[in-house]
Amino acid sequence: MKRKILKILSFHFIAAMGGVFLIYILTLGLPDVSYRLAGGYADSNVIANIREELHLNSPPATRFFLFWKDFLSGNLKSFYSREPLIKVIPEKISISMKIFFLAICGTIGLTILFIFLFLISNKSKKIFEWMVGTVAVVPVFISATLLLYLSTIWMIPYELGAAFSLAIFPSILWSTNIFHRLKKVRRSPHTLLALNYRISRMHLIQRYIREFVPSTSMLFNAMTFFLTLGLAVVEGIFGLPGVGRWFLESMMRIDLPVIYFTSVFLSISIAFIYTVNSILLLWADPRGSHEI
Amino acid sequence: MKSKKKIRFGLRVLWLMALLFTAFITPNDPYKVDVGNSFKSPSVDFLGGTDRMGRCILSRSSIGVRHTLYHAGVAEIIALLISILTASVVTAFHFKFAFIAKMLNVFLLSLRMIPPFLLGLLAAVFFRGTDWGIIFPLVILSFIYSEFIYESELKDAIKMPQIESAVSLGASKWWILSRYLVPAVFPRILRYAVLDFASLVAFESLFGFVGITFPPVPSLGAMIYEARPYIMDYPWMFWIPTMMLALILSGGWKITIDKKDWS
Repeated sequence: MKRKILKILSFHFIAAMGGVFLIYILTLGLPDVSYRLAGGYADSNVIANIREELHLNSPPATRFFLFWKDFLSGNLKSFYSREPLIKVIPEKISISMKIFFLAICGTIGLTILFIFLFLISNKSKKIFEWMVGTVAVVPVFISATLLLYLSTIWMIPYELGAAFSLAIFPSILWSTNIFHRLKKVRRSPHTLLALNYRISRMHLIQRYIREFVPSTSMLFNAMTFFLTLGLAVVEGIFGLPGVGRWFLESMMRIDLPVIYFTSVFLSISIAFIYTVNSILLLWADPRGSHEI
Repeated sequence: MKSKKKIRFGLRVLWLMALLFTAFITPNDPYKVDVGNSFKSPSVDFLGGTDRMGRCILSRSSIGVRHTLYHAGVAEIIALLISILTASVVTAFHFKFAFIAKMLNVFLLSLRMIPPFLLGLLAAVFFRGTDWGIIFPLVILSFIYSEFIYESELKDAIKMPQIESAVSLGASKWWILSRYLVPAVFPRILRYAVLDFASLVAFESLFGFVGITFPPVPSLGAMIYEARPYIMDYPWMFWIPTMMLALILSGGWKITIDKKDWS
């Protein structure tokens, strides 16, 4: 078990490092940042200063290390706000993390509610399935736009509205998955045997928990969706100054330092989520069907 | 039971017809700017009303649907081919050169950690003004998520008892491939590809919504973004592209909730 966990950790660590490096390579493909930042009408001195500040004259490999050195020493600044990134990033992260955790709580809460609605009766299940089918075809940017409108009318805090709009689709998928798993587990041979031989309820519940652990990967997938796309979209729509919105705005005006370091933060967070998910799956199935 | 099947088939045909109808209905010139006719409500002249530039919303949405289907469709086909090829190579390496297969997996996982908007921006820069600026990031997005699934499907299929028996009895590789492997894997891959197509449609419109689009060609996402401030006063500006997008996405969702997928 320990060996497998170590394997998972090293695999995801290498992948995260690969992600950090790949993001850097991709940022090299962006158009010349100095002209963009200078506004198109700047003289050669301004452009030379920007190139110097961003180390654009250095070879790419050297630039990578200089970038990190400047970031860690607090010298790397956003080109638009002129604030040091090391100071701004924690502020932005705290706002995004609030929405992120609210969205996770919302996903879990909605999933429980949906499963409850599935289980009440066959009629409620059918009505609910129809409702789910209708809601699920609405992408997050449309549901967030509508929820922004409703939040404004009903005076709901924007963080809650943003989190709720993120939680809708993952909770629908997760509850549908759990419901079908539940049906399968109830009829599975080991459950029938356990009931037949009157094995204690505790063992049965333990067995159920193990059966349901693989479906938690849906929650982890939802988390990666929040980080890669969701946060940027809902923060943009609700006007919340988090990492996602900052990333999207910087991307549109090619603010290289912000693009790079927000991408790195997001990729490391995703690596962490994948690692936890893999360890959880390993615990659920120690035979290693989810082995890397 | 038979009547249920017939109803389901009828609904799918109806859905397809509605989709084709929305994709090809362009009663007015979608690019014609006429400020005198701005914010007109739906009428005989403008079936879907007009936007702030006086352009026909229905015609623009229709063009948007066509572009969305084209971008997502081409991206899905390319990604499907690349994913099947890569998954086959990785599965083959998994048994003979495990280290190379693992390195490939690490690379794919690293790709999944890159924010899709960054890929979208880069593609927009490289393929300026062409459809590939949208198709390329969609291909990458589809590839990095579907390759893992195709790979696991292939690995599971190879472990099937009938294949092991065929190998031990000395059946040729072509026989195993055509009689066992392809029939076992292909339907699952095809079902996943349909689902993936729906998510690519959502991604395409999302790119349009955040500004990764090439005007003046209308994009459903960009139209929804433009309509946000007018959602109360001129609701048709928001609801017509939204309904069209929902119509495309509903096809994929119908398969998602199909009970067979969870068995």
